[in-house]
Amino acid sequence: MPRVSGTPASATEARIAWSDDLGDYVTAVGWAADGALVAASSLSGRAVVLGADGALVAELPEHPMGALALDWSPRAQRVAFAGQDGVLRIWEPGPAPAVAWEQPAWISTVAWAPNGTRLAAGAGRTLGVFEPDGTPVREYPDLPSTVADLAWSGDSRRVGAAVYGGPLWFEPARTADDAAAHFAWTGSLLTLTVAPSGKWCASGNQDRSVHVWRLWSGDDLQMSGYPTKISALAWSPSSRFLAVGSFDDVTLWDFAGRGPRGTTPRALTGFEGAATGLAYSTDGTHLAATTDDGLRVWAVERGGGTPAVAVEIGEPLSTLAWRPGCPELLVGSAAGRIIRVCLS
Amino acid sequence: MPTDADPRVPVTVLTGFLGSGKTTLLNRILTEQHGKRIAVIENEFGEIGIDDALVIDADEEIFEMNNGCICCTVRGDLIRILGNLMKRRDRFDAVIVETTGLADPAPVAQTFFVDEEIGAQLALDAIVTVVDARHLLPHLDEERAEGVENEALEQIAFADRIVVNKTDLVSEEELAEVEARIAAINPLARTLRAQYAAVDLDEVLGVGGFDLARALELDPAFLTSIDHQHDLTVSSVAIEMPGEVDLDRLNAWLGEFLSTQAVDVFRSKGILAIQGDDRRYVFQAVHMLFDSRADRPWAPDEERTNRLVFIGRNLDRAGLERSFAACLA
Repeated sequence: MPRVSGTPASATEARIAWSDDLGDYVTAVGWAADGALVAASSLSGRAVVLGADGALVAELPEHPMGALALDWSPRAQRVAFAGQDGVLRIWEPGPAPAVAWEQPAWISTVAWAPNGTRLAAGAGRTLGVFEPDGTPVREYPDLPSTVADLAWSGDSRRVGAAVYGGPLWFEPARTADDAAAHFAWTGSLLTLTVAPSGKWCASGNQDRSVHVWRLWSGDDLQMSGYPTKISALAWSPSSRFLAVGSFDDVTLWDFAGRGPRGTTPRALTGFEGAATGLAYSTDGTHLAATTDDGLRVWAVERGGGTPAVAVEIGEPLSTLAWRPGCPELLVGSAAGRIIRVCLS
Repeated sequence: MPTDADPRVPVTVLTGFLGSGKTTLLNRILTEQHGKRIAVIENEFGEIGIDDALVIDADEEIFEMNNGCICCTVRGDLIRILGNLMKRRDRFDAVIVETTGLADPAPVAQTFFVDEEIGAQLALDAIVTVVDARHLLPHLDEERAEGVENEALEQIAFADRIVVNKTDLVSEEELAEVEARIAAINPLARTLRAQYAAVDLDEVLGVGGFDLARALELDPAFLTSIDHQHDLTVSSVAIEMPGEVDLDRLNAWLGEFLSTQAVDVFRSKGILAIQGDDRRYVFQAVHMLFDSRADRPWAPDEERTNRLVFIGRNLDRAGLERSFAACLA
């Protein structure tokens, strides 16, 4: 990926552009693909779209008991929100969005296909697939467990559901209702992510391990022995590195050459407590983590494990997203604040 | 209900067969604990309608954590629900998990040991089992195919408190027999008689059934009284041995014992005198998931002694005594 002009090789300073209060734990934040809008969801039930300057653009109907997930379309000013009430809505500039899906079980994960033509959502044990306007395409009920996370293949053909027993991959264009692929593994998956190259997928697991599968051979490897369950993973834009958020550190596994089997990961340190969210800048030069201890940003192309930038927010942070192509982040806190941070 | 010693929110697990009075007890708790913020996690659609309480329906999802070992089964749905609950700004004073009538209590209890996020914020307070005084004995005596669990037996074996409900529907003799059978299976649990599930709520909430410091306030007389047992598939073995144990040998023995017999050992608790340490050690386990820590110092005139209680299936008393004796320094 080409380096975006203006992105420093190593950021050294951070400035808070603005912050806002959503009332309770921030469950998700995200930037629109064009970087002009942001969205955030909170356990207070609020689901909001703001301008990059922090001005409120849209306040969606409250999700009672909490708005749990959001995802921006990679191709349009279009964002999906879902919550504990089992309701899914897709917002676009214009009239207020209708309810696209309503389920008895809560929806804690939504994911757009990379080409923006399909949206997947997990409600309890049911996986739903939708058109960009919310028209239902497919429904896959009775999965082995609640869908903990969703990830699309790079070609947007298959969607992977993180369920107990290993990821199940569905192909909405097929007429068959069964999974097109299943990587069987006895364990509880918490998060699932596909490498941008489309060659690997990785899951963070309840049993304190990370499991990686090659798409689509299913050849796998496992990194175990972490001190906590793993709920934060991020692939570098080049797909060479997999970052794993743990307790007191983030480890980087190198997938170059023959892969990480038998290697020792690089440790990124400089915080105490849990790493709750991880994300690479779009040019891959920086890796940011939200932690119990504030925001940390490492200039990963340089060696060493200490952060280039540490931002003390004064409260544990819960989630983050980079502004596409810019050295800027939106972070969410456990106390309910969203904060736009600019690096230089 | 959080105490000075433990700031974590207490969790009560409510088990019992359909019709035992479990829901009546739950409604009583929610009505009488007015003003307390209680979250209830249900597996069966009940008829609870209390304004102060937050009621969440759960879809029981049992996960094996470790290559299929039953001792490491946890409730994935509880991890998610409780995790979300504890992130909220408004905190709860107590959480009650109501299980289905046929549920095995072990995965619920084990969830609090296995998930570090849950364990940091919530403390398992007690497993409370409600039984119907009329129907308990037939349930216990029900013939099961080899390898099929008797849920009534397991719910008693895991309990810290057992509410013997509907006592007005049985004679005093029948009641005594019910209580004797319960005591033979689980001598560690306190039994409470009730009609219409009316019990002193202080006896079922905030009781510290899983509190290590209180786990072993067993009086010696109580220990000896559990010796005369029927030939039961689930029973208990209590060991009391004066002296001090060698820590390395104890760890090796306990590790070996719990890993080889974990499936059969439901609950265990103990107070130990460790050689070279002037503090008492308390431990307790659900299957092989084990928690131990130093307690108060031994009093100067107090005899250093070890007391352990195991509740489980096919326990070999002589073997346990012999192998534990080998740990003595």
